[in-house]
Amino acid sequence: MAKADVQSPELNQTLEAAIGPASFLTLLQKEILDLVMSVRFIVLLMLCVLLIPLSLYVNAQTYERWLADYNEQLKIESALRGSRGGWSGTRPPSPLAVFANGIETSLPKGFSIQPNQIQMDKPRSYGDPIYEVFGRIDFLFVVQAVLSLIAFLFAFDAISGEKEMGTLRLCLANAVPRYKILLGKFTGGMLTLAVPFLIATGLGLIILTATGYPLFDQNLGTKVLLMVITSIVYIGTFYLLGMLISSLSHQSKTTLIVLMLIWVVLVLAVPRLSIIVAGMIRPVESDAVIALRKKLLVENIQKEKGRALKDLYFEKARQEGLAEGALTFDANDPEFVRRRNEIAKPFEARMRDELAKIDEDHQRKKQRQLRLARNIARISPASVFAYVMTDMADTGETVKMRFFDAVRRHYDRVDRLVFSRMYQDLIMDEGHYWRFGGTLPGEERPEEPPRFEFRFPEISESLAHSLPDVALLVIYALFFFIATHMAFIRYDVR
Amino acid sequence: MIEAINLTKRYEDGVLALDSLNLKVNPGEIYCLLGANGAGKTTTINLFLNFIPPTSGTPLINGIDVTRDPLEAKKYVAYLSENVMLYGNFTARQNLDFFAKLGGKKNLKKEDYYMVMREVGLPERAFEQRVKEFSKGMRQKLGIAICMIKDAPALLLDEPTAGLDPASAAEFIETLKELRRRGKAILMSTHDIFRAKEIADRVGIMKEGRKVMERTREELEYENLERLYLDYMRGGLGPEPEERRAS
Repeated sequence: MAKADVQSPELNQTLEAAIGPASFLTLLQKEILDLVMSVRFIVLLMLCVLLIPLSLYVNAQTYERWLADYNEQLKIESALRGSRGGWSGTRPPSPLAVFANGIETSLPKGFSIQPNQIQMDKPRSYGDPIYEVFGRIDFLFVVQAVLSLIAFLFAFDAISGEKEMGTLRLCLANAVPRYKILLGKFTGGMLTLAVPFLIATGLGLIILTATGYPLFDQNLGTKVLLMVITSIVYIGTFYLLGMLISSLSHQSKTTLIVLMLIWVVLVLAVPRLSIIVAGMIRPVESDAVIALRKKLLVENIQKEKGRALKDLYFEKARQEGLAEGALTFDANDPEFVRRRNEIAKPFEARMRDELAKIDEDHQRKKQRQLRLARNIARISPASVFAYVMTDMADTGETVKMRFFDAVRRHYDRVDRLVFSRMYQDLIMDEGHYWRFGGTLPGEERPEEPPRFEFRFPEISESLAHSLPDVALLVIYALFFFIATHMAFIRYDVR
Repeated sequence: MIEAINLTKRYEDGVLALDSLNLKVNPGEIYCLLGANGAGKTTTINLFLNFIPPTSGTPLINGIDVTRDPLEAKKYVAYLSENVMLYGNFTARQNLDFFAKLGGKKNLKKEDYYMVMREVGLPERAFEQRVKEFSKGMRQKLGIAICMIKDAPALLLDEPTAGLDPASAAEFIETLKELRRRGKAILMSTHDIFRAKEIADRVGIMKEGRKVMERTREELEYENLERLYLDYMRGGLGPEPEERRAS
């Protein structure tokens, strides 16, 4: 080894030349090597390679089944057209539910409508008791829960562990700026986390394509790419949060305990608590209560209408010389029909208006509660990530609202074309009642309403909707990075 | 090469850890700081490494004010702590490689690392062995190898022989002698009076943040260092005048 000449300019030059960008690469290499040689990397690799391709494959199979069911349902509806086929509708499954199930499993798969009533079908997961209890594993779950946990496991001793071992002192005894150490740790950790994740995702996509999944249709590939990029940002956010706690703590055990607590709060508690808190702040009646209220309203107005029509019906019966109680709706008597409409139409209009008002009011309250729940949940990056992923996958709240809007519009169409040309009268008298129903005379035969169609949002729409959440996720990451930097810079190495 | 001018450190809790320390370690000189726990030895080293900022005074390495330009100053200093843990999953060579590169050494070959490890007395079988399997003595040897490979003109050693068996400590002392011969300025904090007497060119005794006594090797030929140390620790002797200590 060369002897040191303490004043030698050569030594100075050598040192000057050597200590520069090279130290970052050195730190990066060390970080990667240190993590790759640890047991947690093996765990990460195994979990990624096992869970991501497997979940994608299983969900793709489920999607195929849902799609087959959907196509079968369309055939049945076509066969029923002309009777009641146009009065019901089926929602197509979202192809990207393979990545993020979201509300796909809990949203009704279709609906049927009757005058003044929309009956929702069972959700697609109905009949899968195991999934109902334990939920499904999808790409979203793997990243949101498993990889965030692993990101914490990678980060917990990144700084506090080195403080404990004394290696941080040794590093800082060299001419290396602290930000470089931090940057080396972040970059190294992220690369070590991202590479197995990307390999596993790539493997999963190959399997999907091989099994006939339409990855390259309808911008699905672009959406998947955006979901993968968002996933990396999310993993980075958790890794940075882990580094922040690690830089604030002096013991890796303490860091680990704190991080586990944070993980439980952010990933498990906040998303669920947000709904409970929003429900307490802005309570909304359940769908069942609203349905009951609507039913009561319909019954009351029908009764009122019946009372108003009773005299007309009885008068008609007397004119026809019919026996008492032998009422009839005489479609051949235009005067009777005119007078009947004169009495009944205001009741029917009132019923329609009041039902619409109940629906609108309920929807508005639900929207407000949902917005509040979303905003509360946004204090957790895990919730923000779930919103982005489900919005991208067309399995989020946006699609849910879009579906219910589409159903409402379809109902309005059917109501305009069919129900408004029909009548239903209920005449009650001393314990007896008579029901009359059918197409109103003078009206054309009810048209066959168009088939129910549901379109998923365009990619631009999904992007626009998820952009604020993506921005929020990036803000979280930047905040954690800046906070980690501040904590690390101010750290007193004693 | 290593110099402290009126170096003072008072922590936020009010504790005066170091009080107006003046010392100078020249190239080719070993300076041993003796003192009980909490005397201010490690604080002194921490100040030279800019791990903590001084309350007042100036720590200099190679004439560079550590507080003003820490990165420049750190180019000229190597450091060894009491408990060298290093990266357990890495081999001795990988650890050495990492710290050599961090210290600014590039393009070193495997043989260069082996040579330094041989020099500090690490057995050949340990070169490619994971450090987590090392004994404390072996880790200390590797720590000194890290200092050596940086080839910095100044060395700061914080109780490097603590916990070493006598044979390892003796080997370590021989290595330090070699480093002195190569012109390194070495500041070493220690509890080990006998090792200090054996190797130090100058010895400073610290008590409650103050350097209370300083003797050269020649002066110690005629004085009993152990007795002096114990007298100072028991409080029998007060601090010497500054001019006596600076002589």
